[in-house]
Amino acid sequence: MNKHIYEKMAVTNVKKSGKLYLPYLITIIGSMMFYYILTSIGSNPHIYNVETGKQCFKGASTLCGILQSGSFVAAAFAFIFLLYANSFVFKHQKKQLGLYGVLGMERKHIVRVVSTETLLIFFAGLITSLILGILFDKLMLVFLFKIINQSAYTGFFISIQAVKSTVCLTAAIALFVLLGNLISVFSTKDIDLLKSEKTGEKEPKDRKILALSGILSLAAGYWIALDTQNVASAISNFFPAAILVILATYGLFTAGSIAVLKLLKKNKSYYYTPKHFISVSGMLYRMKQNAAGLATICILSTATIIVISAGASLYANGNYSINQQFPRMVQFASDTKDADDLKEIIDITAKDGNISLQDMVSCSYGTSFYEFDGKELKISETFSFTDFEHTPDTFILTLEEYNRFNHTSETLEKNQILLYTTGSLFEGNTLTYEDVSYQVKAEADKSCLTYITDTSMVLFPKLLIVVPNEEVFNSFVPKKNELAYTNFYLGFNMNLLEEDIEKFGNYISKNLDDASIVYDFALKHVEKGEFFNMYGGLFFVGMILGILFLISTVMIIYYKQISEGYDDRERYLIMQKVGLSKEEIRQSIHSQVMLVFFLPLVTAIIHSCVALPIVSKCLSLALVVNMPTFVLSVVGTCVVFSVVYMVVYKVTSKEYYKIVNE
Amino acid sequence: MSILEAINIQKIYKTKMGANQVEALSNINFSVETGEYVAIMGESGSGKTTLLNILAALDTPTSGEIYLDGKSFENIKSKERATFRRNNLGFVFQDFNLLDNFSLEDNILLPLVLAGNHYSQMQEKLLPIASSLGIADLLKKYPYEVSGGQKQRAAVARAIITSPKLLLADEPTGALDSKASAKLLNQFEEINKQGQTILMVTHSVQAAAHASRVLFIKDGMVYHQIYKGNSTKDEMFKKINDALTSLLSGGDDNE
Repeated sequence: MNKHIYEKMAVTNVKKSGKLYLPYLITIIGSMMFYYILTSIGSNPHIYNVETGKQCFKGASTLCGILQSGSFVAAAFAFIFLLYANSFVFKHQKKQLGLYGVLGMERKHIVRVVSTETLLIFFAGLITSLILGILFDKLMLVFLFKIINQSAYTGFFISIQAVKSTVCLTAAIALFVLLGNLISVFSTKDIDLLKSEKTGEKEPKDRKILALSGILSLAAGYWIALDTQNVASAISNFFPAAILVILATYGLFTAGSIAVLKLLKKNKSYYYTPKHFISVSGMLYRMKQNAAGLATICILSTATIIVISAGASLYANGNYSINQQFPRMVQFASDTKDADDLKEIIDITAKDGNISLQDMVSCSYGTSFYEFDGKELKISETFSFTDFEHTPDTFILTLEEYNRFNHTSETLEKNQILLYTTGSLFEGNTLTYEDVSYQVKAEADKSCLTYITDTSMVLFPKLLIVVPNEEVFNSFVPKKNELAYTNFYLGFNMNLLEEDIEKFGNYISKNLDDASIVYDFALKHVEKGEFFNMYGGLFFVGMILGILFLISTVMIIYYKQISEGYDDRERYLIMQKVGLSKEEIRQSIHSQVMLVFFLPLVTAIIHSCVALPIVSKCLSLALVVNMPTFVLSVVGTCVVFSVVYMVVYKVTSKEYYKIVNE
Repeated sequence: MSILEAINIQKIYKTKMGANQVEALSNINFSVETGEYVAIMGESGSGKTTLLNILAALDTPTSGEIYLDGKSFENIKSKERATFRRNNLGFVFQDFNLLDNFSLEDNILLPLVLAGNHYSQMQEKLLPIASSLGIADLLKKYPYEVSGGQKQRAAVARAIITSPKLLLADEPTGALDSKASAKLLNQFEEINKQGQTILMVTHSVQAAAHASRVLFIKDGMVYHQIYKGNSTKDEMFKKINDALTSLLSGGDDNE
């Protein structure tokens, strides 16, 4: 009859210490559920069938790849984090186990209890996460498809593969957790298990140098981040600045907070007042125990805020970005010498199909790889990609082409040019090229740049030069130079369905191939789809990982609060006996818990705000960054983060107060 | 003049459902005169701690009244209880109850800080008390750095620094070795001679022998009392032992 007594004990244990196990269970459920969803969507054969290679839409394989890498990250994170969080939970269980030992249970019996407890938790977590995962899978899929602008297929799908890998992952984590717990049980004596919760506390040491270097590196990191002027320096400065700020955060949280508190303590008339006496000394110990953890939370929160808001702003800016890169629905590019043939073939094909081409735009230009020091332009001999500022993207147009494109009748003398530049490099009004000095007559109209280059790419400054005639053009774009080439752009819109545009495009391509013309060809809607697959997928994965991370952060804080609650209970009991009223206790708890809770969040938000300019510059390397959108998404992420924090704070401080007042 | 009066104190504990009732104190009557040193003795479960909690205003009696310096406990609102305790009572506990994150100095000053005293005033009060208890050199130390006896002396300093009307001690020698106990009891006597009223709950005959009066509690009632009068400590020790023997044998002849 008593065969299952140890198992029963384990079940009772789990039930009784729900306060301890519930958050852990929630974390297991959360991480496993998101892992299941990522894996299940990533391996969904309706989206992308690996065996047949059939895609639900173009770029589906890219999307699935992103999701699968996301699930990999989620798995790794869950693994590390659940092991780490287990140490909090098990610390509190140790005392109970010590009691069992004292009562005469042998190690093998304790092993049975511990194993049952661990497996029970993980089993419950697994089952719940699978159920929730399968239920939410469809919802998340609809959400994802909404993000990537695709219509979702109808029908319900349970991925056997995802279920299998979720079970395996959970089992692996459970095994490691159990192993850790058992090692811990075997390596401690009963008496130590009993006492394991209580050890003497020394007053933290004052580490002024560390605190001071924290302040200095924070100042340096912030300075670098805020002082960065252009994209090139943003990229080279980002990591040094990030590392400085990370070091500073650790230094300031660990040593800085204690130095400040000690300073407050030294000020006798400040310290020896009812309001500050308990809070300052309480904070001193809290910071000693938690500073490193809080600093970690702060750094990870900052990373999450930046990643999510960057993803959100890139995604929100998607249409704008696409329009910048593709001003027309159909775009062709070829060498200028084939311009007429290309144009003719397109016209004929359109006429044959009785199709009208609208908003047709064309432009031919020359380009090469130049160096520019602000006064003199010369063809570059060496490839140096490090000095972005002095190697502008340069486009040379003849006056004739310029006038045709802009419908103007500008005139130029032999030694005159029109010039437009995005950088701040050009000064004065003459430009020297191959020992000839050209007078800049006026600023050139930049509208043609929109078509021949992506003006949103700001890594290299743009330089547009309009030269008076063919002869000057040839000197600027010498045929013998390998890197110099002439280019022709042609773009137009069509009032057709996407499939028909594609059909038409393919038809032209075939004709161009037949005429053996070398060309480039892009359809905006296809590119747009790819773009949204890529960034939508990244955004989706980033968001799921962000949520996962938020759950974990919150849970660490919860455990910290609870374990502190048990430590503090005795302290407050004494104070009550000595004459501290419950109201005063409540106030003191409130201010301390608030500080510990919100210090990482507030610091993370400050870090994120300071990082805003440098991050936006880094992002602009790859994509259009619309500053208002980016700022808005940072603010939005911060608000969501803070709201979640607030809710958890309310719950934990209530729990904490309950423990202290028991 | 009596500083503390307990009249018909009764305390009944009910289980959650109210099915079972346990009478911890049935009818306690006694008073303590100003400047007296009273010890309360009794077996475990006799209601000593319950009584002390009630006298400390940490718990309320089911019926009966307590007057401290003529003021009834009933008239104190629950919000004011903490302030009342702080201003009128000093506590010494068996397990010291020092806060481990405060130095001994800060532990001793705690009640004064809570009362909102100025730091210079605190120092004026602290130094004579600390030196009379022999812990003046230890003030900057932390509880985990000093011995049990030293901890208990710091706790005594904390209890008397507010010049309370009544010093309540709960088994103050319970966690100390005999040498430290003897030292502490002598200090209690010294404090009492300076005019401090003390009420001590104890198991220890040795501790009780220092008191000027010993009350015995059994089954939630004051069962017997002994005055020290002019007798020596040894005589007192013997009297208490005799009383305890008859108490344990359960003789009803004393009533």
